Amino acid sequence: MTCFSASSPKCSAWLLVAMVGLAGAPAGASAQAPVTAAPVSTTPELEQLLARFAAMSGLSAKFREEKRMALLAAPLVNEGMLYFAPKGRLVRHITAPAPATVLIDEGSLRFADAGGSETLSLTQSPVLRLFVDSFVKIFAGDRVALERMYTMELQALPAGADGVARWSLRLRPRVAPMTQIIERLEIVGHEVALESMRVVEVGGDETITTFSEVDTGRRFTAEELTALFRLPGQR
Amino acid sequence: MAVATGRVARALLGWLLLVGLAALCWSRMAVTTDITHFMADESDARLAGISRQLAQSELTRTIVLSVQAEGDDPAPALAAARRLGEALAGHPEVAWLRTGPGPIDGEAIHAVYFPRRHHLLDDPKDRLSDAGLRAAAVALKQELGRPTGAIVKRVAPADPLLLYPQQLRRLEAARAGGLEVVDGQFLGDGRHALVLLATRRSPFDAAAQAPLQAAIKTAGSALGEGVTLEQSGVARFALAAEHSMRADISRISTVSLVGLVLLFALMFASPRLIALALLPLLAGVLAALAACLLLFGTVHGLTLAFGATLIGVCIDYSVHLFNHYLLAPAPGGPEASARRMSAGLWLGGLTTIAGFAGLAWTSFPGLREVAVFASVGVLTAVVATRYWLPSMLPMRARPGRLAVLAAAGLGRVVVRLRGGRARGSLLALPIAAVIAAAIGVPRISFSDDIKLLTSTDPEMLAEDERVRGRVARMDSGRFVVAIGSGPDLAAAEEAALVSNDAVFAALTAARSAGELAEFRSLHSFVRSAAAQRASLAALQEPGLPARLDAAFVAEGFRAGSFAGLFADMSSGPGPLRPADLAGTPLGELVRSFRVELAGDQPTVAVLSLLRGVSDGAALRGRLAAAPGSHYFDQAEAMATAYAGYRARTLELVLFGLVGVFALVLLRYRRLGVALAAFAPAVLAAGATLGVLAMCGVGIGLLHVVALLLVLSMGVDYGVFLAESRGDPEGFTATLLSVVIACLSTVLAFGLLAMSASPALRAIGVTVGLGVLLSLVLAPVAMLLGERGER
Repeated sequence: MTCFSASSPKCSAWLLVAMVGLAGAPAGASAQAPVTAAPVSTTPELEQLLARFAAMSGLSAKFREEKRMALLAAPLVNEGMLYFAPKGRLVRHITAPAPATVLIDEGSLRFADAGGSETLSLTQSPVLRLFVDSFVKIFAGDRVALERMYTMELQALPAGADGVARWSLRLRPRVAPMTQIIERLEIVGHEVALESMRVVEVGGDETITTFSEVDTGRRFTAEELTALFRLPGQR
Repeated sequence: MAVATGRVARALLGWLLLVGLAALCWSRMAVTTDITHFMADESDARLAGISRQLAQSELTRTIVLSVQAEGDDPAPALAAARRLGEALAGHPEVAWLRTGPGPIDGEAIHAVYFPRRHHLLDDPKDRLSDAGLRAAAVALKQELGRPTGAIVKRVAPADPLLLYPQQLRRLEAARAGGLEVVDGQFLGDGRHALVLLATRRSPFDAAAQAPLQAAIKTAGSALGEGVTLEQSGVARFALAAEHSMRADISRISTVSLVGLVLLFALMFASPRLIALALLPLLAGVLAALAACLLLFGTVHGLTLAFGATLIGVCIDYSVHLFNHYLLAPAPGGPEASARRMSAGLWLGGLTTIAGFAGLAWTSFPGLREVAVFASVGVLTAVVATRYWLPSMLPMRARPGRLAVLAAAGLGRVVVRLRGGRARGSLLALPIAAVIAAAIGVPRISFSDDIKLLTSTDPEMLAEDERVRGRVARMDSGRFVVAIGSGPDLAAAEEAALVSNDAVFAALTAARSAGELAEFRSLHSFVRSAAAQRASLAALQEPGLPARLDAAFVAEGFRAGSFAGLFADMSSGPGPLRPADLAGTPLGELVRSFRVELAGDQPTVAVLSLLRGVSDGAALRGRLAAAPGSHYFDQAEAMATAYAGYRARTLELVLFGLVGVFALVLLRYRRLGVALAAFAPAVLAAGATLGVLAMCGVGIGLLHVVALLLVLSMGVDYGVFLAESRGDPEGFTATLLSVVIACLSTVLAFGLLAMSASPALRAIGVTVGLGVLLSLVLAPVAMLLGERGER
């Protein structure tokens, strides 16, 4: 993770931590790690689903993300490709409306777009780590971590036109400060392929991401890992 | 009986005084190697004051330790740096130690800056124009699309211009100081884990820094195989300089004394006489040291080293007395011999003091100290030789065989030279000296490099530069200062901050133009109250809410979303002042930018630290737009000051020479004799300068100071010879004294010429050469003068 030097991305740990205070987190939240709750037991079906996620060799998918905000008259739309590799590496390469990349790995969240690049340390910000984990752990199928952060409810949905059984997984945060920011996540899929993810924030804003051309058996060569899981211009 | 009692009483009194001086020196001894002693303390006094304060500031007291492990993975280096930090953090000399920027107290920062966000707008004219508002709307939309959008969204209704997040980014960059942070630790060049620490006391305080340096070395060697530790900091250089100076002083004093003892053993062949010969010197050095300690509180290492050279001057007096007492004794014993040569002793001593006294009018504290040291030392040596030494000499004594042979040999040479045929050879020497001066002096090039005062180990310097490169440290010797004065401290601070705002703009432009690489400014933390009020006033412009809404709606935002920006504008706290940051995590950083100066009215200086200035002249040109600001390049300023002080010291030397000639003329009342005593010293000094110039040596301040010694000793030789001109035996004895005196001087200064310190080398070479020329020219002038009289 690189920060601060003149030619490399800026590190905004302060930005995040200081602004969490503005985000309505309780006093002291920015300086302290989130309080974890005792895990809640999951149903066998959910355990099975998460186990299948955990067994994935990797994931690639096209995505379309719509951010609907009270501030904006029309949603912000991003489109691109998403890749997930085991051990928690996730990258989104946005191709429209403007190129941008978001990369998450063990220690950091990095993003780059036309306006520059930024690196956020997950080790320095337990709150940020919590937000990141809330998405990455789903792809990783990390049941234990998900049980600490969410109450989860799995429901069966009517089969699609191809006759394949579909499911809906609803997650509600249990841990502060997530509970002040996110109301719920709703994930819809079939087998281990995600169809959509909807994040509903406290206050009503929501982000809906739809997935297509999902490959849940994606295997990455060493060259692909290097080429795909990096920011543009980074060696 | 009464005479004997009187002798014993004088001897005892002398010993008592000597012991008293030694006790005083022992109890108050304090040596400094602080180079600021040789900095100006007049003209541009404010800048010199700031420079001196910077020399004691946290910037100078900070040491950077760089830890590197084998391989490209920085993890082992980071772990080693943590262990190093743990080992050193508890050391009593460590004021603070950091391996990383430390935990972030977001709430404290939020409490200070968010309510004051309306004061944070810079360039309101551009940013609040229609185009500026549209750009702000585009920027906000871009932020909302990023992963951090969820958090920015919560700030945006009250801060659509993102004034607070921008301020946080400025603080972040300033706090990290341009350093990379990995897992909470500083990392340079991707491989070197860094530990920053500041010492409690000055880096020039060798006694305080030595234990810490030893602890760093010990902790470094415990880091394990394959881990290297490097260091950057002023303290190590200061300590090395101090060790070098102490080693020089010790070596020169020891070897000089041993050499003198051997020389005296050969000449006087009496252990008692050898011991007695050194007493006036000892008294002179102790008295000089005591005077400096009482007047100044400390004595500089360079003064001590210079004082060690007083051996060469003070020993001349006892040698002169001994030679006369042994080779041409006056009836009545040693006191009578001392009485007979009293005039010569006093004149020699006073002419030396007259030469040095002129230095007391310089503006260098260090040179004033040298003037006091030399004057008191010489005066005490003369008094001791005239009144104390004779009381301890035996009533009868025989010269050593070598002294007798040497005196006889010199006598034969004098007789030959007094013969008519030797006139040509006599004239050849002064003519050669005149030619050397005439050719060389016009070629003199002056060198005013401050580096002449210290020598630097090239390996240590290279290591320091490597580590500095990793941390992108600001140059400690270059800064811009914005100075403000006022009826009270608050007004002075505001005036300085107003100037600093303009400095910031100038430095930003300079950086963009490539005139400097980087700078750090207090502006990142706090601006002038005037600028902050201007920001608030701009946001209170009546038409702004509507224009802002229109601009943001045009970019897709809902109308009325940003009324929160204007809702609490009037009820917020007032402009931020530096004092408001005192209790926050930023207090320590802010403190280092602000300096209060002594003056007729309250004055505050705000510093901007620079790195990589490539065009000082262009930078000065830009700073013309910032009234109250000054660009200070310490090396350049000291070189200019040195040039000024070199010229001034030369004037003082010449002024001193006039005083010396006046004294000599007053004594002899005949121009020929006076010139014979005085001119050889001046000619020797001129020829010395000429030879140095012909050898390409740049003449600096210390060469000029060394010339004073040449003139002093040269005039001493001339005066001693003039006093003995009517007495053939006395003349021979004096000539032997002059030869021994010259040998002892060349011994002492020859050692200085081999010193590691460029300063001491300059003095050694100048004095060694000058005194040798005086030895040759003084007797020649006296003999030529005798011919003239006949």
